[in-house]
Amino acid sequence: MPFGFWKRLLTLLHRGKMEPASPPSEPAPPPAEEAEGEKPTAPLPLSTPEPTDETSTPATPPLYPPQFRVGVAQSRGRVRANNEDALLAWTLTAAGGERSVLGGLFIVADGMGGHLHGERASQAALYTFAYALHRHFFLPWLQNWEQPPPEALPNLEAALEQANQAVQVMAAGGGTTLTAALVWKERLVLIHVGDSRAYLLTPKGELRRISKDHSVVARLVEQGDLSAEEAAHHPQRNMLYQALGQPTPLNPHVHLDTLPPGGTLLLCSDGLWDEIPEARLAALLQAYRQDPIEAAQRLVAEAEMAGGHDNISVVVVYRLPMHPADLTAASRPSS
Amino acid sequence: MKSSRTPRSRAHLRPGTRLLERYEIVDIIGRGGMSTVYRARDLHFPQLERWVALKEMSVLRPRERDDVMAAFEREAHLLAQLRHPAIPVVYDYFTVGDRAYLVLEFIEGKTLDRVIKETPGFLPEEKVIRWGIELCDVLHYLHTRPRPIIFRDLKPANIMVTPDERLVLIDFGIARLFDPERRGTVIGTEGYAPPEQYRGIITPLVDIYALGATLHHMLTKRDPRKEPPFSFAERPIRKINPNVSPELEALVYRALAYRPEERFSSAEEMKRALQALLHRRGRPEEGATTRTLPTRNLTETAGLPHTVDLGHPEGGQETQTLTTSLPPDTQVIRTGGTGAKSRAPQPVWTFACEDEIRASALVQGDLVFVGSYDFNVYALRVQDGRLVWKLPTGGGVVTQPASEGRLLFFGSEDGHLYAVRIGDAKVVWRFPTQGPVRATPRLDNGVLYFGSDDGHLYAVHISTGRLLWKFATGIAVRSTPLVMDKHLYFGNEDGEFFCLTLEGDLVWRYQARRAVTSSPTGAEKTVFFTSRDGQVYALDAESGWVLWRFRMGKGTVASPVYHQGFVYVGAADGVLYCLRAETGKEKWRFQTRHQVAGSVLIVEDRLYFGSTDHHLYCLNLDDGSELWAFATQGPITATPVTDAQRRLLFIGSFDRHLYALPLQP
Repeated sequence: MPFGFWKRLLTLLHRGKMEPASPPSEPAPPPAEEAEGEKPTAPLPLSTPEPTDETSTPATPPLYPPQFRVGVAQSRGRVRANNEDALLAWTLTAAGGERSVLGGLFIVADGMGGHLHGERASQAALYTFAYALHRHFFLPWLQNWEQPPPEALPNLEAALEQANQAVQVMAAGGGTTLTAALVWKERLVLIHVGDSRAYLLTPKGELRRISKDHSVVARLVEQGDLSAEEAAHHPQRNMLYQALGQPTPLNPHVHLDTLPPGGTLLLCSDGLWDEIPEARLAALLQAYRQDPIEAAQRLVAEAEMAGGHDNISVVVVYRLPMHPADLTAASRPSS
Repeated sequence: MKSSRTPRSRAHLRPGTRLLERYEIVDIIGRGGMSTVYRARDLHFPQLERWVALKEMSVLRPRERDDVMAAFEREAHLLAQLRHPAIPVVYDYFTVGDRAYLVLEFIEGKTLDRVIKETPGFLPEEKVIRWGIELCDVLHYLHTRPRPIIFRDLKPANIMVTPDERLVLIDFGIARLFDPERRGTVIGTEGYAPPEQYRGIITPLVDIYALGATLHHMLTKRDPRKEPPFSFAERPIRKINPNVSPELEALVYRALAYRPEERFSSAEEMKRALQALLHRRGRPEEGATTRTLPTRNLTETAGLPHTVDLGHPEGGQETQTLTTSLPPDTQVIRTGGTGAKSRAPQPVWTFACEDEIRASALVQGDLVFVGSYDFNVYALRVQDGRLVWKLPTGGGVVTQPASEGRLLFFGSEDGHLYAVRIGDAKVVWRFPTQGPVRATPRLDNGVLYFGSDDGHLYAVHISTGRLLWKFATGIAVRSTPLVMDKHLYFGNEDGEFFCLTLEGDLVWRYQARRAVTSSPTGAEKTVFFTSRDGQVYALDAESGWVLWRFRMGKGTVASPVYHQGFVYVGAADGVLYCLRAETGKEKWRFQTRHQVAGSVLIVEDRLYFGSTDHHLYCLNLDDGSELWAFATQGPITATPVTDAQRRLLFIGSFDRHLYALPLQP
């Protein structure tokens, strides 16, 4: 049994008795590490945090350069014998002269195929994809930093194709989903195959799914043949019609969006979204918006408590608002 | 490697292994989830090379073994009672240790899957019909057993084509039926299963759908496993393979109906429909309803592989060239210029200028303004086209005017930008530049932005005509700037594309390979523009980062139009393209007979544009099909415009006329 899960559960139960339900209302100083290396966690908040005093005038200058806070968490879950998920978070922050760049590459991959093919597949895809993007996107830009970076989609598609071939060679018989977000300044380009999802939480607190499940059941919902409720319990809801590692041409889903100041990006495997309803995802992300590490850990802990039937991977990327005073304002719900 | 609970994949029998002292393993011919199929030699016939197929079931988890083995045995017995030429004969059933074996007739040949792949071009229609009949026949046999059998997994990979071209079903899905339910993510759809099968509804109509899917695969060579499920309608058979008769296409789509009750009610009924097609084919094609394509006459070439004839002669209305690697469900190619013209509306009025009309008109209130190569700008009444005034300039007017309030603005090849009072055509001011003004001005917040052939972009105050700033690019600017989120975007004849602040400061620039004459459009923080280098570009508006590029057949001066997630643009290759704004992937294209230099007008679900082939086209926005084409006497380079009530459409032609056409609802 995964030890981490029980520890987390016990911690949650224990803290629940001891403390009132209030999430950190400040962008807190780094919490002191406990002896086990796991930090204490407050119980899941049921209410939103208290707004801070609005009269406190922001004397601090605008946040510069733009920055991310990133949190990740991963668990094998409570049922599966091995971890077939993989995740990656890579950020680039640079500033000089009048110029600043905030970029990043964030990936979640969920392998499948049994007999260890799955965990090999997801990692082969993830590392190959990240390597290809560094080679053809980040490194050329570093060499030519005065210009906009190399093209987005052609490079993402080529990286996905390389990942596809890597899975076929290095994990023959396995397959994997891959959901990758490439961020440059405020622009976000998402590419994915499979059913690992991407969500955006707007500064106003609205959660929007920007990925499209390549699953048969999602397709039935699209066609109006299944309700979302039926789909959530369909025995074949994890059956994909597209994944990496198949000798068939890829038809990835691509989405263009923005990750604005105060916005949050969430990438996750089905081990998360299969266990936690979207409304709950939104509430948790919103409550722990300023602390993506905490948010990621709590999301995983909650998915484990809800059953933990599958591996769980979570990447949370919070783009800080332009002004420190917005830090608390942005975390307030819209209504 | 840590998990001790998952056993290693089970060992296969080595060649030479003997079972029951009778079957000697030769090689593996198939592998499935829980089963392996071997080719084996039957040693009871030592004088002959008698092959059998040995299907091996092995169960890894002891808990499941008894159930699975019992079920396997039951199915083996069931299969043993079947007698049909398209079903392999069962010789024997036995178990060795924890493995069970079924001894089956060895079917020589290739799977239909491979036959489809290895056939150059398309399979002849007649062969597909004959095979369809054979499959209906065996399905009918299975469905009408005392205990009806539903095959559930009909697909080309489960069908053998024997050397004498008979079909035999080879996998009765025994292993699949008893696969213990797996949780977790799997890749599994076969693309041949109907929607209701995923809801656990299994009737004979499941097999009818799968047969329809198999026929679709045979006719189009598009493997449904590589496509989204239930997307056959998005890959119209005759769009991919025009050799197929409309009757067969309709038949296949009936089998593929999303609702089971709309399919053939039985394999027998479908068989009769296929037979009727076959008999009809025996006769000359007098009954053919629509356009006959040159390669349609299949009786001539039956038995030979077909190749697609891409170069249809005139009159072939629906040529196709679906050979790219783009996702097939995204692409439809259409050709225009023939037929459908009778449905074109008649003009409500026409107005003749003294020379060519190259630029788009502008409607403001009840007046329509248009510039002409005859140096004049005309103001006409929307209602009846009566001339209200005309104003001569010192050069050709090749750009669309702009207007605000009581003023009209337009550039002239005489180097000036004019501000004219609409009421009496009095020139309020003229702004001189050092070269012809061949760019349509952009009005935003009391400022007029426009380019000149003198290499500058100008920002001029509209009420005074005073210069606010100018930005030097070094070469002619003919592109109309886009104003979006407090920035200006435009290109020049050197292929440079600029992003400026509204104060004229450079934010970023991008270098295209050739001139950017067209005007950009924008949406969702993305700016789209085209170039004479033949590309459509999508750039991040904030940073100038290229998000995607799309290569057209030739360069273009036509401006793209964004509408609800799609970008519409024409090019010198005569094609109007519809691209997905997020990916730059083509949704459909429409081929005209000459260059497309103007841009499109979209009104509700229709799209209008002109071509230098003299026609104004009206297309269905969704799929690019032609609704009508209106012929003028000269090339059209302008973009159609409409009035506020969207009752009339205005388009000028090189034939000197401005046409007012009624817009049907």
